[in-house]
Amino acid sequence: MPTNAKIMAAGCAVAFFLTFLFLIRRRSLKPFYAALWLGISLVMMSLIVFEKFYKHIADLLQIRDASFLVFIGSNVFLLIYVLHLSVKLSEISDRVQELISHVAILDRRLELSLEPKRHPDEN
Amino acid sequence: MRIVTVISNYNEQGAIEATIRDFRENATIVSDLIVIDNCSTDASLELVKKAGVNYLRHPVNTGGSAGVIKTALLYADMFGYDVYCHMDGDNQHNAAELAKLVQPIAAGEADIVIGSRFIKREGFQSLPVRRVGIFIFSRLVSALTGQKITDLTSGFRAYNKRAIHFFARKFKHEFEACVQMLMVAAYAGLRIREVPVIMNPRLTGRSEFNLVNSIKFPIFGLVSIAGTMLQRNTIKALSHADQC
Repeated sequence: MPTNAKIMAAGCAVAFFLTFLFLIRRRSLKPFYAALWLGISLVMMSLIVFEKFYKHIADLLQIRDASFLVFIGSNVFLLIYVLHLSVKLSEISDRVQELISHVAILDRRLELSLEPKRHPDEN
Repeated sequence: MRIVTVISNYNEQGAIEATIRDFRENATIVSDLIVIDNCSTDASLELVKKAGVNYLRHPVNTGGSAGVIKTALLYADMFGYDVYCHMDGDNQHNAAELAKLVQPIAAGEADIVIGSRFIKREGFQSLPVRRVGIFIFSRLVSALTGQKITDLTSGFRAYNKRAIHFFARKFKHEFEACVQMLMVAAYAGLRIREVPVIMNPRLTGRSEFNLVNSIKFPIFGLVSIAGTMLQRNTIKALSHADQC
């Protein structure tokens, strides 16, 4: 990998890692996603540190250029990740619907219980 | 037999009063009435309150009638109703015909009854393009479920206690609700019956079926059919567990 590309990749990996740390500090990520993105940022850094290792894997898979391996790997990961998010979104949408229904019913019950009760003689 | 009639409302300020009046003056069944408002932005909910009708209000809009049906089923299940009848708030359905929907359930002949405008072909018949779509999908669902359905998209329906409980507790709206619900019902062993009804054109407001929806419906409808077919065994197992 040319030095310029290495510097750029290292910069991206560090920036990604810092963003990840910032999000952890702000408690914006659930533990599962925190672990996932920690793994991703470590993989990104390892691309520079263990360049020979990735070249070796690329040779084993008969991929001429190691950068293709990274490209294919990241595409597969993103597809799986988007699928995972679609599943989660569908689950959340079911739960939101369930909550909306319950809130609507409970809200009305609360409203009725707070209404002043009429005296039986009242018209 | 305890019956609840649910009127769905979303921005129906031009028709909701007439729908409530129609129910009060012409319904021949003894039924509680409740309006479920899908977070309307117009004055329709105020009109409902003014009319003195019991109501539920979604805190956010659920995007379609499926969310209202889910709330209605849950409400009917929670409060132990034997029959849940559904009417749209646009005054397209005639309250005088609610008895027709309830009769097969009361006689123990059906679990879900659909008011179909295409049996006697009287009254409002919808736009020709939409009619073709309904015809094709109704035939397809009839062939796949073995139950004769002519008006797949009719919202004028009645559900008995078994159907209420099954859909309130087990049903997840994943695809096109009107298609999916009937296929799920058939796979769950629920008996579907259609009765002829006369529908009216919308009084005011806009139908859910605009240009975007008329493109979406066939695509989502096909995905819905395929998806529900794949879930056939799961649905049967759920229904079996429900009966045990």
